[in-house]
Amino acid sequence: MRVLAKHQSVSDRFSLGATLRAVKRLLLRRSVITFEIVGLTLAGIVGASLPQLGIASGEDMVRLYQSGPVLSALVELLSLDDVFQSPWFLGLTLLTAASLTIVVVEQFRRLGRAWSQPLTSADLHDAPYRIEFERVRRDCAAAADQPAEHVEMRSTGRLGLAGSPLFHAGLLLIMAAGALRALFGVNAMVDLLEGETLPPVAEAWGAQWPAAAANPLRLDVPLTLESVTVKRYASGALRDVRAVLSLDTEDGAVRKTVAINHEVQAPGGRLFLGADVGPTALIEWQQSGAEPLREAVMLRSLGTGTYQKAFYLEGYIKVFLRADVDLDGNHPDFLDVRIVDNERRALLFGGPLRAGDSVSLGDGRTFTLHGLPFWTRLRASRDPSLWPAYLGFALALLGIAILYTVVKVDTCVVITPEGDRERVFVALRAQRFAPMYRERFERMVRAQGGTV
Amino acid sequence: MDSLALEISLHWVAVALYIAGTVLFAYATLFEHPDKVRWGVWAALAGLVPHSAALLMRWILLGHGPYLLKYEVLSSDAWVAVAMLLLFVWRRPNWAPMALVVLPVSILLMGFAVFSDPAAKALPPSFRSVWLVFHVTFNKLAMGAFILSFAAAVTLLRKLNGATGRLLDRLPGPDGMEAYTVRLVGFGFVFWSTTILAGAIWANQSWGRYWGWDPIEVWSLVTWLCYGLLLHSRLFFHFTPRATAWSTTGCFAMSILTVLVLPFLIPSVHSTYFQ
Repeated sequence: MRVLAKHQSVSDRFSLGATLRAVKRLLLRRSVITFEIVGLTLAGIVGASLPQLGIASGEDMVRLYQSGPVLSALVELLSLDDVFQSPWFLGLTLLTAASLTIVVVEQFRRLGRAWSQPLTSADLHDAPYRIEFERVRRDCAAAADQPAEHVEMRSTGRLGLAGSPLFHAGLLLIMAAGALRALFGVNAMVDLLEGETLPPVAEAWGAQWPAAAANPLRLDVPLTLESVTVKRYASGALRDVRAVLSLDTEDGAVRKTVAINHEVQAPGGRLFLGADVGPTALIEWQQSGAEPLREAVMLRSLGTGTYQKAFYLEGYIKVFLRADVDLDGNHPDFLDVRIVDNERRALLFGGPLRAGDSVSLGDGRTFTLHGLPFWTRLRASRDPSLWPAYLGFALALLGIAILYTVVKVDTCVVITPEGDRERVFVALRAQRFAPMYRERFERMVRAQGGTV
Repeated sequence: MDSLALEISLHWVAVALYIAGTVLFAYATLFEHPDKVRWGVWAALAGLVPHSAALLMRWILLGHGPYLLKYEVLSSDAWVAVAMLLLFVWRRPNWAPMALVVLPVSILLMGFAVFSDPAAKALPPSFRSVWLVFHVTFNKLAMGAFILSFAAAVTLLRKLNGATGRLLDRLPGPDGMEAYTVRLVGFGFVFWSTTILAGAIWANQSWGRYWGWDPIEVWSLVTWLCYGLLLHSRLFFHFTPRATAWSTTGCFAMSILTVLVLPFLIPSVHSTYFQ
């Protein structure tokens, strides 16, 4: 029984090994690698041409879904509205990663062998550029002391051999980083007012986009938005936004400035600032006999220094708010307010209000402005793939830079004395771009007194 | 004359000199006067002077490089293409026939530039990044290398179709020309990869993610994959010089689509800037 079991195990291992070898051969096949690149290219073309979920607008998505029965069926079947998250794209990416892994292993193995291999004249006997000719012996006087054969071997640009392995290893690292991000990356955002504190809980964020296996993002310490500075060009276009944050750490409050293109590392995530900014109207709406309604209304930019917002109270009272921010980004002195009763078609109030002002609108209703702080949108990210991705980028870049700038070139000149004449063998082999080395070969031949 | 009018005038002077350069290169090539190639080089070089002056004037006036408006982008792309051509012809004088492709492409780019709106636009805050400078610079270098590879491919096709002449005969044979074409593609591929890398770092700095499947990001990846496919297929399937030349032409068309056409048509984070 034991003998039989052992035999079966060997047989299993043999068949497993054979299967793995067959898979490896398949993944290394040129047609398979070409299929993978073509597949990824086509996926990119489809994904960039059709509206994609989370990127395109709602109207574009509706237009895609209603674009005829055939296309709609294809969209449904192949997830063409979310190409880069679709199972077939994931499968193609995995297949490519598998091929790439084997290619990288094979290339590094080959590099190890080629790197340490000494060059001999025999290696160049079948070089694409080679010539053999006879000439009169140049060193007749010293002929007696000369060895039978004079061999001059030269190999330059050995580093060029490392280009392709490094490039493919970099690509593999980028793909691994992408997988890491797709599994564990998370992005979040929240709109904060000056003076507002973000508690260290995930629910405090306005929106989160966690990856498949990621926990929602939460900072480890409370964060307070202390102040926002807005700078504008003379045309009114936005020039810069900065925000001072206070992180309530165990060692006390730590102040950090986050700005557009200037991230901040906080405990629990990296923080970013976008161009979304504006004044906030802190209003209170009071009706007789009802609880006061307090709201923070964030005004939106019109593309210049003017910000505005319109909204309804009680379903029929329309409120228009407008404020101007000067070029230095000072807080607005006042808020321009229009309050319209849509049922009675009557203007209840129109004019400027300063922080602390309150207006009576009749029937026991009052509208109060408590303040005009700035709001801004804070983004956060936790991405374990960042440094692997950057390392992958660096390796890939180094690899292709080497690939196209450093070429390994082996040359040899063998001079064999034959009486008062000598036979000269000149050869050159370039690892890549061989035709570009023809001139160099011709120079070598001429230097030895031959003609090409 | 205000500065904008002066800029436009300098652009037109440059266009006129580039046209003169094209005519002189054509004369030298078609009527077989290799010694007259230097006239074309001088005319193109002379065109580069007002062209550089126009771009520099704008840079100084606005305080940012030529990467915001269609006018600036197209004009600076043409400048890089001409500069790279002259550099290449200086190193390899026999390759002068390539000018017959590069100069008309540059003239076309400048034509589109001067007829687009040159009104200055303030630099958005997210554009204040050193990574943008790398992103744009390497993109222009990539385009320059791709234009040169396209010119080499066209010249190679002409040779393969039996065109002869003293200048064409001075060029290497089909295998040699194919090697040059592929090496130029390789340089473009290196620069294009650097463009994507710098853009990714910049995106991470601005938005907290280095890749977001934005349509133009994806098109740049598609272009990169197309060139990757060309380089792999050539090795795998032992492309003939003709196949390499046609593939290079196809990839060049894709790069033009990505850089000069799609950003103006597709809603993306890139299209909001190249207005």
